[in-house]
Amino acid sequence: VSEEDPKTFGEKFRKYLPLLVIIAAFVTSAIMIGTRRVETYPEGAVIVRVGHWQVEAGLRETLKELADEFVSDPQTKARHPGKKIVIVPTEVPDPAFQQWIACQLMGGTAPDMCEVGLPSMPKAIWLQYETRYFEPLTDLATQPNPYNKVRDEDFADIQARVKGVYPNGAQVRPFMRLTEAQAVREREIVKEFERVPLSQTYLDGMRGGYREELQAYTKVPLSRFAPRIFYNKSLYKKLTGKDVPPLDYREFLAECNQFNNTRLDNAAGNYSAIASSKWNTNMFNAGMMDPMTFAATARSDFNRDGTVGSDETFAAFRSGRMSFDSPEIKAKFFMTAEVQKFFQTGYVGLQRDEAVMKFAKQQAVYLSTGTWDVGSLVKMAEGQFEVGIAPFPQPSKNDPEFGRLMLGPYADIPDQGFAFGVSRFAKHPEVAKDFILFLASRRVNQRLNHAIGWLPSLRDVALPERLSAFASQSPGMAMSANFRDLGGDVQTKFDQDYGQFQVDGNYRGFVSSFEKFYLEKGMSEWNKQQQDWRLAVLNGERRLAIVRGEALLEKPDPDNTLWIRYRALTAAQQVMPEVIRADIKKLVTQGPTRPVGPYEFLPQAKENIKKNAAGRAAANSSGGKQP
Amino acid sequence: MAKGSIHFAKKISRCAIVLIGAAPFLSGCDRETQTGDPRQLILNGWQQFRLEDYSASDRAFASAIDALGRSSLPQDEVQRLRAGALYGRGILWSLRRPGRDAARSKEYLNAAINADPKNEIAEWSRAALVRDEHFPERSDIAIDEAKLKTAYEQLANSNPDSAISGEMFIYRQSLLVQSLTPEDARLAIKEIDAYIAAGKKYYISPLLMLKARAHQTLGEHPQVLAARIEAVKRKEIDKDNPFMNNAMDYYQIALIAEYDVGDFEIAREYFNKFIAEYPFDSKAFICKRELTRMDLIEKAGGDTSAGGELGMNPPGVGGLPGDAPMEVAK
Repeated sequence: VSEEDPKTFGEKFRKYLPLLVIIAAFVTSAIMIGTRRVETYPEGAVIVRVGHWQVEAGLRETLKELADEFVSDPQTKARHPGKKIVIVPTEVPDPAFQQWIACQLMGGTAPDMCEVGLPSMPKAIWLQYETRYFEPLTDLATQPNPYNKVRDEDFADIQARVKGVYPNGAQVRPFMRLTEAQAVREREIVKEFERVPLSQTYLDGMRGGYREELQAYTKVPLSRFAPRIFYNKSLYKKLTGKDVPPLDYREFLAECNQFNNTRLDNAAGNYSAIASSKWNTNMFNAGMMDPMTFAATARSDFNRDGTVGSDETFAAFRSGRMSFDSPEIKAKFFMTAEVQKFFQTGYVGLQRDEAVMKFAKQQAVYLSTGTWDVGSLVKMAEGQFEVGIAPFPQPSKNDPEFGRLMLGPYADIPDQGFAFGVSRFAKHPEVAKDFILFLASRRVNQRLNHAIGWLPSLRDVALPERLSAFASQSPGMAMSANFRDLGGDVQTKFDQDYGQFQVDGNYRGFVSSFEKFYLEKGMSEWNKQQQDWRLAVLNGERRLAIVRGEALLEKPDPDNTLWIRYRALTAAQQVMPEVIRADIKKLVTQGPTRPVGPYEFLPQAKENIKKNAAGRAAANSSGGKQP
Repeated sequence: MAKGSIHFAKKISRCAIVLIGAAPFLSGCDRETQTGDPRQLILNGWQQFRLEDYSASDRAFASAIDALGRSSLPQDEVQRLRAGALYGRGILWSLRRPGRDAARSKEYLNAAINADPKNEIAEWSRAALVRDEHFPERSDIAIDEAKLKTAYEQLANSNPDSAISGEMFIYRQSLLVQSLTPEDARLAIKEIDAYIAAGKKYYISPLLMLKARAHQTLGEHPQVLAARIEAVKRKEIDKDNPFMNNAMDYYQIALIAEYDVGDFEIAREYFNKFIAEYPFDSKAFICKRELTRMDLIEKAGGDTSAGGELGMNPPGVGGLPGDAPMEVAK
């Protein structure tokens, strides 16, 4: 930069041009923002900002429509008389949401209502955020939802669904039709929802909104999600002449093989039977590959809680009760190798959006993703092809390789999501809470989810048309071997070696690289995990101290709810985990002490069973009298 | 003119730098003088503790103590609140990480005890002094379990009918049971039985769970089953907690009855309870399989290999010798 003062107008102009540009840009922006705000918000308006990361098709419009409806709802007007309420949604796509929400919360500028629980963020971070920056919503969850108050229109709507015509003359869609008997039940549900607490309007007591560590509800989920296989119905019909893909694994493979060998005119290169990415393979794992390991992991559920932790898997491998030669473990990898042959080349390096785009461009027949993508997929396919949804194909009982490993279906229980909390920085928390209640009311939750194509979060609510046949809530097996979560080094090594296996399908190569590392390094990783765990116990002690400190300010009555909750928290977080941890430590360091697996009979049990059976037989032979 | 505006800009920048530099001190001065209702200040202290803003939390508790010096509240209320604020500071310096100061914590907790020795807060402060030993500075420092067991015992006996006593008692039992030695297991069973027989009312269900674990250490499976059944019967349920239900208890009781004791009647009862009360829990599927399997075993006169294909370890599965290695396509 020249130190000399500019002399001519031209020199001065050149020198100050950048400054002028910056000032002009600032002034223009200020004017634009100012005028826009003036245009958008009426004077004295109660502005409730809503932050979320959902950019799926149809959501923005639906949310806007429901926000307007909320403002003019008689219940809202009665609860907030004279207030001019404006709901302002802010969409921040998920890749940027993590940084955005961190800045907003730490800066104290977070929206009144925020979506909580972005899956790509560590759970521990969300726990910290929910502890520090969100209002407890237990009062909301334990009271009836005022927006579930029965209205005349509710019964009129039920009647219309029986008749098949809505009062405005519109035809009732077939999946929404009710028989007289169903209408009776529907009326009962409407009345029940008015009466019961919000949490009881959910199938599971609204677990998705509860934080056990805080012993409080911190969010209200509005939808549920499950992984499914999506397929290009038009393309599928063209290739097979059928409408519905097979449920049998072998038939599925045979068809995929046929698709891979078919070049289509409209598939400009890179045609594959299945569009996938590193992320999408997780969906296939959950629905198809993990069920192969059920039998093996049942032998490593040492604490019999119905799931297998990384420490249990490690203990099973260390003690030789499970190995990479166990047929179940091999079967999982074998199936992965078989199915990934039908993914596009290089899928491991691709992102989720790239798989979706491939499917949308009709370069693949199948795509496996979650039900949250239904609306977007249908929108992308509009005018081009029809999107179908199917369950994951499974090996039949007679399958020569996998049949004997099929103990049962995987537990198909959709997760709750699209959950909102109220930030501690909310300028109008009461209005924000009411908007959440409005969205979680029976009629609105149904409309919201039908418009987007998601599963409603409430029980006894009609499912969207596209998902109605595939929204099962069926119990099944939920266990699988867990190698990754033992510690950072094991996780990195597994990801590297598994990534290589995804490329070359060489199981022996994977085993020779990973097994030794896992067994040798696993112990020190587990020890590191113990230190983290002690820190978690300390955090639990802090939370307990807060509950106690606040409770001590009230009249101390050990039998009131607050103290019952305190004792439950003490037992659940400070007492039992220490004992369970001691068990796991012994298990990992010394191996299982039980001579047989956790789901196998002890010798004394076998004796008793025989004795009881003999006793029963004797009783039967003596005319029902026990000897 | 240009020179003048540059000088002006420089002056503005200097002022801004001075203001920015002074901001923490200015805001600090403002924050030092928290005023208001002492009770509210204590609540603020806990709120800041929740937010892990330990300095603000300490200031709030300290301000509450100052405010109580000027308060017109009744003397006994002043004493109680003063003890509460001191207790808050004691807990804060014990549990904050980083920055734990055990000596300072002890000082405040002792002051809380002296402020109102007969108050419940004094008891909690005594408990906190012991509990502090359970949480050393760093997680890799071993805790002195023997010393802790004795300290918990002494506190549990000092006011035996209180909830605090129950809490100290369960911490002692937890240490005994988690040693996983037969001697400690026997001692825990004896002490828990005596506690329950004395008609104590706090922490009964988790104590029975600990008793069950102690019996497991001793290989006494029928006693494990009995203690678990009693524990679920006496469980305190927080109705607002959707995770607090009996699903896991029913599942585990049924498995103990089936596989460890061989009592199919009890196993059936609890598998059926599970299916009836938690039909959408993923484990309901396993419960149904086990029920069918037990029927088949009974039909086969108690032959436990019957219905093996329905159990969790079907024959021919499980890395058994002779299982041919499966070749994976390359």
